[in-house]
Amino acid sequence: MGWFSRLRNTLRSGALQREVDEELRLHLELRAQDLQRNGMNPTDAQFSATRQFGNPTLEAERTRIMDMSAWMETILKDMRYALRQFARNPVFTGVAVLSLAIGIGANTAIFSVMNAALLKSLPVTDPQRLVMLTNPSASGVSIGMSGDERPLLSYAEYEQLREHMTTLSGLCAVESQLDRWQVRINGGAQEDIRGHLVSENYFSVLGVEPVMGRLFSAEDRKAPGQDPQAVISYEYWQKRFGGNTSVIGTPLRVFSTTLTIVGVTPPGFRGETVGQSPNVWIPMMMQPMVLPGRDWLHEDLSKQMEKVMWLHAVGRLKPGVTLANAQTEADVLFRNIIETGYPSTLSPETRKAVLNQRLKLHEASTGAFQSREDFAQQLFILLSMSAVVLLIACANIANLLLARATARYKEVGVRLSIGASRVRVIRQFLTESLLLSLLGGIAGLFVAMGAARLLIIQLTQTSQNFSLSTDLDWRVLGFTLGMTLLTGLIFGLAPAIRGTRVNINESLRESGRGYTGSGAKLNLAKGLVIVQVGLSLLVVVGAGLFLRTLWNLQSVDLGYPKENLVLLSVDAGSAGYKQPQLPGFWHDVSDRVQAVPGVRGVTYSINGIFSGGESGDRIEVEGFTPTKDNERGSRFDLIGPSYFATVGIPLLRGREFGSHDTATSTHVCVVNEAFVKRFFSGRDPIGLHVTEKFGDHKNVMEVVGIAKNARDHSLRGDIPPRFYAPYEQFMDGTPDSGAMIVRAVGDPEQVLASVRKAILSLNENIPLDEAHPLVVSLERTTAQPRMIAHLCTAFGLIALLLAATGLYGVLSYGVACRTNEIGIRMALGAGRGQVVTMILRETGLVVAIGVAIGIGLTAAGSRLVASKLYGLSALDPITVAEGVIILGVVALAAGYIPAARASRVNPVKALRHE
Amino acid sequence: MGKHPNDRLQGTLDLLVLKSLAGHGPMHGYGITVHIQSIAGDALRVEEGSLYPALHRMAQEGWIKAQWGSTENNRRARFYSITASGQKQLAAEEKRWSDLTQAVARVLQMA
Repeated sequence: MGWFSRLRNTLRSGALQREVDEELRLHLELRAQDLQRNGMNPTDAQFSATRQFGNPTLEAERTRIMDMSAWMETILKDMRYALRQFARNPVFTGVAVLSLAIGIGANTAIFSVMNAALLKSLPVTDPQRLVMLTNPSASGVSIGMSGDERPLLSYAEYEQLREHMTTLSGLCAVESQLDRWQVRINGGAQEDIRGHLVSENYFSVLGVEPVMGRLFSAEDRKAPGQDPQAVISYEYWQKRFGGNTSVIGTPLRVFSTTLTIVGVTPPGFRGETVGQSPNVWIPMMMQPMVLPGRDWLHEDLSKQMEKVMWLHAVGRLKPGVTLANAQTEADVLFRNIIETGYPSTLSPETRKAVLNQRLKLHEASTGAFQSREDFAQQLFILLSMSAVVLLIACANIANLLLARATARYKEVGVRLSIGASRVRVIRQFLTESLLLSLLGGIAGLFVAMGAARLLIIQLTQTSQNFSLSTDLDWRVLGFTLGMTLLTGLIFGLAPAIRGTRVNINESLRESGRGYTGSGAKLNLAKGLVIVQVGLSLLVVVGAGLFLRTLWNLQSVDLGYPKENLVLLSVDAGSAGYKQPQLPGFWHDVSDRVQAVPGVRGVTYSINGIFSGGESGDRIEVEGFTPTKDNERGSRFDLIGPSYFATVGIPLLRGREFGSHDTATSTHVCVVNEAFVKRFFSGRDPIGLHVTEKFGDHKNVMEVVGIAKNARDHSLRGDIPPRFYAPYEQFMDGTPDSGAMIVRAVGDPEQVLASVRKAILSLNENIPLDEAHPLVVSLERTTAQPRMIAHLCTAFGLIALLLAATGLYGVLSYGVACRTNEIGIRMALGAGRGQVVTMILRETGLVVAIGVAIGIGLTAAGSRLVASKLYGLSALDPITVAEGVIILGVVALAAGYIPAARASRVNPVKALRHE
Repeated sequence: MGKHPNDRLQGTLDLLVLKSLAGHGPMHGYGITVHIQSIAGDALRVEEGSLYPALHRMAQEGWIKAQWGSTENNRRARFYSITASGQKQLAAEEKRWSDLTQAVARVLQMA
């Protein structure tokens, strides 16, 4: 019976029991038949047969135990033997376990982040039944209308859906972006708190129960401002209140409203969006109080063209209802909502665009996640890289084991000659490998816990509010175990098979050197090193590509000097400013900031620079007939006087805006080069007109200037057409929020502090949460490529180190085997240089084949990374050449030591050695 | 294998089974019992209950291998046959047995 069938026996002991029972029953029957043949009557014969046999049940049991225990016992014996081997070779064991721990640890760390962010279900009741009516990767507040798929909903639209969806047992709404509030807790000093406005039924739809106090529910929904409660998260309760039960009833002052903390959510619950981790949830009815100056709850659906789209809608499917059923219902309902939800006076063209909006339902068991695809893609790249590093480590360990198998040549010979089967010895070898990988896996778990934390810190830099917590759940442990066993098999199998191919007679010959049969083994070892070199090239080139991408991104010319530029986002609406005051407000702010020492210039922009928000509208250009869809719209920015001078964007022609460009003067705009190229090819744009359209609103502007192309939101891709208009001339009036852009002299951080003070001196209630130098925003834009570049560089270094040790080991071993030959060559007159050349030529051959394989692998893997690169192709010749050179230098270094050793062989000693 | 108090006796059973299988070819459990008894007569009684655990243990050791087949009466039965490694074991057991009996014989003669 084979090894496998024994395992099968253990697992399927029911079948085994039947087989044993059948075997014993046959015995008793045959015995009884014989007795009958000798003249006994059937009853007595049966009785006698049984008596002679003993207790059949007991014997059947003993028989079965034999089948299983023998197997268990050999395993234990093999394991004891393996552990003795490890103890005898502490250096080998240490090196192997350490490299496995790094390899498995890196993979586990990345997988645990992947698990926490992408695979794990929300810790709510029956998460499989959750659906999102909005796009799980959308976030923010957008005002206007959407194209095809509606990413977010307005409150009025949500209410309609909640009232009418019959396929859902509940539908809740939650703010898609994380708010930051300045609050006073229990009358204390101002502090930062992050949270979401959520519909009152939020917790009941998700199925979350409080650990303490109570959670608000649909009954609490009365009228705006009537529900001053707050629920806090378990983590926040622990961190801010030390887990004190007296937290219930604590007052929380936000702007001019006081909320009362009524409950705490269970540990592990971090809301519906992965990576956001709100501290607090506030009932939707409190929106006008906690986001003052905006009324997003009341919306006259039929009159407003511009919807405030800011909510995610999460629903729970009724039992037996499929996602498709709900989609069908949502299609009909939403069509109805938008058909009646827009002004009846729209032109046919606008109406068509409006009716084009649709809802797409998404399965939501793992929750919402901003830019999920992108995140998954980068983690997948990292996971692939770390898997390759683990493979390289495997090749190293396989080589070490192979060398040891050679050392154990005689031992294996003895074991085979005294009757051990080859399979039995292979099993012994494999037990050793698996035990080794298991040790590596356990050590790897510890490495992973540290590495996952580092990885999350890196990830946090890609977005300010990102937070994630990983834990070792069954999925991560299963991944690690699977990977550990697979690793053990990968590095253990070849040495086990090769190591047991032993010529018994030869191995037992007293004088046998044990090296004679090693030519084939050396070839296998070389094969492994070639694979290592190939895989290392893949990782090194990968690291090179990402480093270059980072470098390219960091050296992109923005079109203006990025140093000493400071941005503050100013929210006048929250501070209570209304339309007629706003133009004056922005003038006042500019004046105050201008007076701050160290400020060379100040201006306004509604979107700021590299802030993550952009505006776009449909346009018509005088004398231009659009043929393609991208010729019907343009991005735009609303800016203040002296914007171009402050930011440093050169004007190629015309003028920029001044304080004389008011709401009542002629409406004007400045366009960029890309705009001129697309819409005015060959014509002089100055004096021509651009019409911005939204719904049936129009704003006709005269072009008064042309600005040089500048990068204000993205480092990648072509600069799109853009027009700039004075903020006071916007068709909805002066905006109530935006960014103050300051050109500073000297230390930007210091100037920033003074500017902040100057703005607050105007009104201390103005929230100024986003204020930092432009270079900080730019760093955030490049945080993701930086993270990939840094991690890949680390992987590349580990890969090089592993490949170098592998190469060194194999070449040293080769030199040791050939001491004789080298001795003879030198005795016959070969010089040291010739010997060195001979060994290095061997190195060169191994590296050359490895590099060829590596280039093939890189070409195959290039598709995976292409979308993450910037300014170079995935098979960038310079990067590949660099990788080959680095690998070559490392290989030469690794090969030189054994070569030098070979050249120092003393011919006399070498020959006497024989 | 672990230590059994009747290790020596078990070894005897193994020896008898291996020898029978080597001499007679594949047999099922009952066949082995009958075979040993027909040769040894009443002087040696195979513990029938102990036979099956021993057979399964020897199969685990790789000395014998088991295969399902059918008896002359077309009953399904598990037939055991000796393997190469079983042949080696048999040789070792035989050697041990003859050493033992010779030693015992010498003691009986001399004492």
